[in-house]
Amino acid sequence: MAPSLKEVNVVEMVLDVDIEKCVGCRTCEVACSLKNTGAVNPTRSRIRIVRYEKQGAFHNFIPMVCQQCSTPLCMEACPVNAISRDLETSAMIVNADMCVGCKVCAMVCPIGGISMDPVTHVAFKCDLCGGDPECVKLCDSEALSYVPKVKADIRRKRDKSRKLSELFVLMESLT
Amino acid sequence: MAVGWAGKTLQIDLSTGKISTAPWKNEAKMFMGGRGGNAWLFWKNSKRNQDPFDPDAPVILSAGSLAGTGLIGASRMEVTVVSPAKTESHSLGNVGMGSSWAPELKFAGYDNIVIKGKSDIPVYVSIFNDCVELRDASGVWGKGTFETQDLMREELDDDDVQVACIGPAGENLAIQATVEHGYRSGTPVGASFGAKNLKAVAVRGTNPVQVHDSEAVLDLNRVLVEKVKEAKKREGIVRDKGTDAYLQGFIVGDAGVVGDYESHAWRDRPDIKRAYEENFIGDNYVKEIGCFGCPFPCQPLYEVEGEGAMIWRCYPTYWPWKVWMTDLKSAFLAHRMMADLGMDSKEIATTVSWLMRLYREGKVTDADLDGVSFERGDPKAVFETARKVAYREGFGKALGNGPVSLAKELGGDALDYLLHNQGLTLRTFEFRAEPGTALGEAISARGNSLRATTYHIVLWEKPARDGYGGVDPQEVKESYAWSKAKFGSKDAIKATAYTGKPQSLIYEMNWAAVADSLGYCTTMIRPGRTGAPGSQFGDPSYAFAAERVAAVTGIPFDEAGLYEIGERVCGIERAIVVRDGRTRETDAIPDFFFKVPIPDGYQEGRKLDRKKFEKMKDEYYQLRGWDVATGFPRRSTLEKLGLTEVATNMGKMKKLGPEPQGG
Repeated sequence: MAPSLKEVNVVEMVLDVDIEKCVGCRTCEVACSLKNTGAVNPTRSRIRIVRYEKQGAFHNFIPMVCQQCSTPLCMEACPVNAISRDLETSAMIVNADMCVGCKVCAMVCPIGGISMDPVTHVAFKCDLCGGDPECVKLCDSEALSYVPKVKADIRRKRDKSRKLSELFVLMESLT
Repeated sequence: MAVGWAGKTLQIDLSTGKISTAPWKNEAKMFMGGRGGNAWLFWKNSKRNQDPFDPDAPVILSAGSLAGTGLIGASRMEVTVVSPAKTESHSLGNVGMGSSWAPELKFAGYDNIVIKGKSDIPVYVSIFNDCVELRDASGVWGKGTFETQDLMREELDDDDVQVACIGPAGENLAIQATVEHGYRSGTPVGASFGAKNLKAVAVRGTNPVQVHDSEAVLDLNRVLVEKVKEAKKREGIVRDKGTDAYLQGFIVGDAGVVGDYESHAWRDRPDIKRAYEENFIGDNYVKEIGCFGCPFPCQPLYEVEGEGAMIWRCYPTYWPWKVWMTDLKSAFLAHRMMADLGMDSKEIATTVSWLMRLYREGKVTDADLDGVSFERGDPKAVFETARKVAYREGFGKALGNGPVSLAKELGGDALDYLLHNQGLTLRTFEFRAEPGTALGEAISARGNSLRATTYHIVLWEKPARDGYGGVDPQEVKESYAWSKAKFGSKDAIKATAYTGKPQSLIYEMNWAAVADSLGYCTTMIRPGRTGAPGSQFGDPSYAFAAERVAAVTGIPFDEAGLYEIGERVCGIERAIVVRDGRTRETDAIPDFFFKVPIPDGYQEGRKLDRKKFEKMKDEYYQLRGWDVATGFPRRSTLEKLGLTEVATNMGKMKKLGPEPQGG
């Protein structure tokens, strides 16, 4: 039985994604595939930039990567118990030797965070590079960051409240 | 075996439908890929003085050799054709583009594509790894480039397909037509697609691109990201509001041209600055978009509500001044319309600036131009000209064959007023204040050579806070010291000087050729605006490039080795244009720049000095190993570059310069 999050004796770090900052460059896919496969190969990258584009109208980019759920459906669904949580990084890890490639994990994952490796034919996903995610290092626009979970939460609140704060200043200037 | 390349050239014959591949290995080490590889393939596949619309004329597309290898800044593609736009000489024309097409081609397993022949019906090339097919493009023929890209992704049921396509302008063989994919710099090449009934090349690949040392590549990237972070912090650069030098450049530059080389005095007009920064950027800026594998996005996306969005940056933003436009919203919409029609906004705008000058001086009237008013600054003139050229209506019939054709049709002084180089209009650069830039424009193989004529040889002595091209006093001092050590004189990099320019220009052109052959973004690969210590990455050398090529390919390239490749690429391009008729006499720019002084602004009174200009040419040819009398390369020069086969053929055509006496 895997330990619950409370029993993990580390500051919980998260790979935080801010979709508004993504510039769609896919450097994260480069970093991930180089680090994990030794070649540049977006098809085998654990993180993918999904593009929603209409030429001449809009270009939107959404980084999709495992969020290491607190209730990991992939682990619960895996019929051969090939998925477990790394106690140090809190990352969900696939044991490639045990995985049979049945794809059930991919079916149940709500965000497409786990996929089948086209070469090994077993499940593969972000393992946070053992606590030192390569993609974050190259994401200059800071759409990706690796931060303590509690800080990520307040940072997001701060970001979202900035507009309100401007409104506050504006209101004060009017009175 | 060296890695980094896919190792394959894709060959497509549109007449027969035959699709085959050839190895890209030995040539790869000599020319890399991109522009250099294209030049070699062009030499092999084109004929002397070939008509651009000859079905047999090659269209060559390629990825730079480092594209898709994960290095930050290496993402560019290159398209090379028998230039329809250089109407007075044809020969080689090329264009480089960023975004994502080039890496995708490498993922599909190819370094380059040579397309020959002509299809009976409109087709597009669809590449998905080994599966290459010609597909019916009747459904998208006539459609704009925006819709074409969307429809192809829909038809191929793949949102990740990368499309390079033409619009109506290319279909209708307008020489101003472009191939649209990403931000581009170069000459218009779209009509060459149209002449083949080729709408697009759509690419998708799922293969890996192998690199020699993946950890080294990652480390080079990590260090670069850190360096850029530090530099941004140090210099307080904010790159995410659209207000960087790339956009406002030429309104504040000393040499920004207004009208048809009629004024420079916009620099200090606050209304211009306001029109740009507050109104346009303030109202319409959306965000930055990055090319594949580059986390330093520099392509600002703008939107006009209810009309649409478009990336508009750098070179293609320098034209509103040429047509006296301060209404940037209209300029943006015109640019967007032209991108959709698949045509070069600068080429059109420069033509319009010429027509506006003729109109103002009473040389032409509304009646000569289908009733369109060419009053200075009238956006309608740009919109109407673009539309008429793309659909070949009215005066667009002649103009679509090039401004020289329209000038001949208009008669009178029209041709004398037209400032062009081989039929391509002269665009942004103020040659009268920049002799080195003038020399580059005259000699460069393709013409309109932005990439060969900036940075190192254009140092303005003014502080950075004064805007584009400004350098801080300390950097000026260091730049001059660097120039003296590198080229033997401080003037070699001074914008307004003649001395030492041939040396610095050759250095600049060779490295630009390297960058274009590696598929490297020039912003990323250059060691900084002036090459001086303290500039962009604090390193005045091109070791930056050499260590990257070595990490990816495993071939121990050093700076000198790469520089030789640049020299070779410029050498083969010279051989091609000489083959097709280029001589010392046609290495020229119009008399205008020698006769009419700059009328106003910071550089008022300057004009080019014929004697000094010709002396620069002498020196340039000598340094290149070309014959001073004819501008032809010598056999020994080509052989030294490993181009023996080229030398032999050039000899047969009597296109070689004599060897120097006693040498």
